[in-house]
Amino acid sequence: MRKLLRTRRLTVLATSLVAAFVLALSTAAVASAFSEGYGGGEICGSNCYIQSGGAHTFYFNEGSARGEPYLACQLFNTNHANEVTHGYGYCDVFYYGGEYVTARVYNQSGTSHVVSGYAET
Amino acid sequence: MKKKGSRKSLLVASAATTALAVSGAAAYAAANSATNASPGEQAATVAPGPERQLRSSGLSTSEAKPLFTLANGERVGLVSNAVTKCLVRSLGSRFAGETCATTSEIAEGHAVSVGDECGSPGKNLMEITGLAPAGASEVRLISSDGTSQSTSVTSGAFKFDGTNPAPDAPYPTGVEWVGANGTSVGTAGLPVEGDHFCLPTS
Repeated sequence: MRKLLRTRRLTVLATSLVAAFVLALSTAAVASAFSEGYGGGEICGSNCYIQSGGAHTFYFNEGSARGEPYLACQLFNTNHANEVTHGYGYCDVFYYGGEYVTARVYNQSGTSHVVSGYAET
Repeated sequence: MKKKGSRKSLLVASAATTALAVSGAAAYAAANSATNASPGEQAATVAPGPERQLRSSGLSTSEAKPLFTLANGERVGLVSNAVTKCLVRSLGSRFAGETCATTSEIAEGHAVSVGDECGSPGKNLMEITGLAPAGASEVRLISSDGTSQSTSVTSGAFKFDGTNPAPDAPYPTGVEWVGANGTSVGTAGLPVEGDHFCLPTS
């Protein structure tokens, strides 16, 4: 009986430790994630752009606007990262290099549009 | 007592009919607005982030049917419902982009996206992918110097693998849809201003 109780206690302890470890891992993952919405105002259409507040280890950047203006999404740094994707009214670009990059969305439509951007690490 | 019961049934029946009519009208309005909304407006109906267009259309990457692989290693698949078709790009197990459009947007040539690898250590690859309108079996990529190259349409989608145009060199300006009998069934521009494919890093 005593042996059984001891085994149970050990099982409970092991389960608690595993649960605490998993919780710590997931909390760390949530804490390390960063996202930023930027822009949201009207910009001109001759390659005017909106840009994130700073550089982060962004892997994703998207741009959207009403109507279907030419938009270009960019993730870049002054080192060697520079990924660009062009689309109609919506664009998304990915960079899996793990470096600090700045996020931009260009309006290439020739006319002013309200453009919003969003990037995340 | 019987009269009271039948009056009650009548009330329930009319309430049910009204509810059905209201929900039907709401569903019609939702479907209609989804059809008329631009890609940006449609995406704005859900939280920003990867797979936003897919999420706003109730679609999922996991349902995509594989179509082809691009020169940069990305795999392209197709997923659709009654309203929207989406091209989904993935690199290994990672999501790498989406191009979603309704039938009318596809007909207008607004389901084309251009990806440019502009970083210095890369291969300078340019990938043009998109959805072709009904009736197109081939797509011609027209260049600024009048030359063109062609590719076939696979399950309504197409791709051009190339490299970013060098400064002052000819650059792609648009596509021409070609029918099975070789005749043109329409044209569309690329969503790029002139030769601004790669963008500055300053």
